[in-house]
Amino acid sequence: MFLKRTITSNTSIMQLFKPKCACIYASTRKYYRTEQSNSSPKYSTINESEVSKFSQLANEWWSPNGPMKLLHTMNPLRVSYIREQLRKNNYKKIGDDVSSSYHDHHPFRGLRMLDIGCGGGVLTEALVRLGGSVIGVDASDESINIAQLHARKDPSLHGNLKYQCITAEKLLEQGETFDVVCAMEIIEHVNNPAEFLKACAGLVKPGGGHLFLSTISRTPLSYILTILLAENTLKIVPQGTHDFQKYLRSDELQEIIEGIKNDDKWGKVIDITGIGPNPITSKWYKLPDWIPGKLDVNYLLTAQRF
Amino acid sequence: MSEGKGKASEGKKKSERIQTLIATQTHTYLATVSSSSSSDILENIYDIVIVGGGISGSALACALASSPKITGSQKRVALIESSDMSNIKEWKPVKGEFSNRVSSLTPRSVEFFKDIGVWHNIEEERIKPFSDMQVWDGVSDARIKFNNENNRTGPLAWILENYNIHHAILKTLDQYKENSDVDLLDNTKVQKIFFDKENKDEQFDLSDWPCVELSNGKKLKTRLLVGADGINSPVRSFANIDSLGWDYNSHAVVATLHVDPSIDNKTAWQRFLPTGPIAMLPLQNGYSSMVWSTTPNLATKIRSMPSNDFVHLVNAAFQLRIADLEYFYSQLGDGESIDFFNEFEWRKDVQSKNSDYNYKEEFPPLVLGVQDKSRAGFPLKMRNSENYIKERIVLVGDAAHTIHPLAGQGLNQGLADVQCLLKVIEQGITNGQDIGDINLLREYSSERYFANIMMLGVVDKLHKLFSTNLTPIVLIRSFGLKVLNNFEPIKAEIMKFAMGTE
Repeated sequence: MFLKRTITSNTSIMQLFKPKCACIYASTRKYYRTEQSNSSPKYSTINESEVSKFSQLANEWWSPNGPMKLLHTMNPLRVSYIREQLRKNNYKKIGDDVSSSYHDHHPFRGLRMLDIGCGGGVLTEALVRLGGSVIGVDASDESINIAQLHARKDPSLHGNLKYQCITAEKLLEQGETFDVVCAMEIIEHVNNPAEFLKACAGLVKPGGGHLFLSTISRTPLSYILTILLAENTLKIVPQGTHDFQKYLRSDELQEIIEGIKNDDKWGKVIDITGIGPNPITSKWYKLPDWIPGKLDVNYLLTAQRF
Repeated sequence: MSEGKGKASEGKKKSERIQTLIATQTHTYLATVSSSSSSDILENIYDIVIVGGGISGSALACALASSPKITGSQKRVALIESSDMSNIKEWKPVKGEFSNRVSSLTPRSVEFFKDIGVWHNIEEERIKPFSDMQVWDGVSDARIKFNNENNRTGPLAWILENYNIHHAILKTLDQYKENSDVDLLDNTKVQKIFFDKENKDEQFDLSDWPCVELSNGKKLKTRLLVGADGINSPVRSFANIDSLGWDYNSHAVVATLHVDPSIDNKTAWQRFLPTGPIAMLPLQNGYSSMVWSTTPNLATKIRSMPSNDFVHLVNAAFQLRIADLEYFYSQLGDGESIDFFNEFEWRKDVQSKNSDYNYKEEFPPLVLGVQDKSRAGFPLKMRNSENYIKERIVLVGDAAHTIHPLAGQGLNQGLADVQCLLKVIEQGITNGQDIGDINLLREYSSERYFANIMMLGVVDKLHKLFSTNLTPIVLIRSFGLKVLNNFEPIKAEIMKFAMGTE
């Protein structure tokens, strides 16, 4: 998918890559936050410099041609993926989309949802519009602030949306659980993915709750595209934005998730889907099965708790 | 789309549906805050406000009302039209009389009208489908004939009075009333469009929602503002979008013609004269509609000349050589003039002796008269907006683009815009997007901009190509027409393009 882009001229590569990589960068929806004095060492997955990076970008979250543009174009696919998966598993009878009752046009109605690393609220707002009761959390005060300001622009969000600058651990300590937990474009930026995922997984309601993840795979192709080209050659993204070592292949991610134990085994991965943007329209699509290496760059993953 | 009609039958009462998200919010909100100025604003919150109740704007309102996706998610829509639309709502066609403003609907547009439930409200007796079309070069007589009967894909297009279309749309909209939330505000002018930056509310910040101030004093705030307000679109000016293009140095004259009733009227005819094309479109046996694009000067004369002379001039314009026609032109105007009938008769007589025309097959039916007061005219322009969208603003129809009528594509383009916008809005709702979000609207813009500019370009080039009688160009274009006429696969492609099926 990405290689196709390199065929085009230099300028258009720039244009294509900029949002894409900015997106990967921007959507590093950091949720971990340094708990100043009382943070226990096991929460060391946090990367403070990344949090401040995103704080600086906070104002750009909703600018129509800003660095988050590709994140916005990616969002409809993420939302439809979440609904499709919930429907496929008949989780709480998620509404059939084409029938005409009010409920069915709000398929997430009745679901308690958590968006970890919500940033400016791009995914969070969409989940609310489809009926979910959503909490968006982020490590950056500035991002939460922007998200709150932006939510005021749409009266239809009122009442079902809450933003909070809090860590997953805190929520977990409070005994919170959710039907749906999303952690999109964030694992590739934490120091200890296993610890991070364990916290996420703990927030999922037992007995069928869903965990949705999206990230970048650690492959030669993703190295070429996100690090060599975007950071070092084209310099669209500041050098050091991505740490290739932190990328996780889908099989690794699956192994971590399925290795999580609460009392028993936590749950299992039920779907992994490769995604990529059309370089001309910048609209994101699921990559069909026949594409070799479809999981080599961006992918979405669904796990369900036992 | 197919569930569009079934929707209307659903018996959900409007009062129950006032649990609209927005309405609910508004009510809770009003209960807590009692500031009168902000309550006024929240009462008048809409999801979509369409400015302009022409065919495109009305069709959009109707399409939205027909969509289960949009009514099901409780979207609130307003359609604002400055003129009184009661004459359209209460349109009563008179047998044997036709409005001079007609349109040719492509199969794609007809399909769309079927989808949104409009087609069955069209006055069936006043629709003329046609499968034959003849287009020829007035200078060289090179001709291309289209006949879609062999392709078995149905008619090339349908000719309808604009009134018939518009009436059917408003009727359909009214039938959806029970199940949809569309306010039709006719006789209402838009005074001003602005962003209400002043209003600093505690709970909501609608400062980037367009605010439409109406002549009745109301101010509507809208999530998405649709400009369907024509070539001089106020919405486009508000959005600060430039419109590019030019005025053709020509005017169109339209008229309803009485033609030889013994002829089976089933062909659309267009002859390219050096001053512009003249077209005759079938309405019924005995009736046709004319669109004649010509110089502004000639257009004025053609509109005001005596009806009898006009009839023979139209016959001459379709049947006689350019040199003969120019003689007729020279006799237009004040003072003593020739007997147009005699002139036409003897010139045609001479011509038929010196040529092998098959008058019955190669020329439109003879014009016998013109419907009283049916002659009208308007200047021709080509425009395309530099962009069709801005954050929370979208342009459709003539507000976005205006085309020369020679290919009968203007309205069809507008309807294709509406169809595409409906699809994009539905998709936005499915994915939980704000339907005013520019990232969503880009999908509309990228699809329609390309399609429209293609059509504008093709039609403009056709106009230019045929607006000359320079010998080399005439030779080339005539050769081109003759080759095309004998090359069925390309003809089939041209037909598909013109029918909107490709």
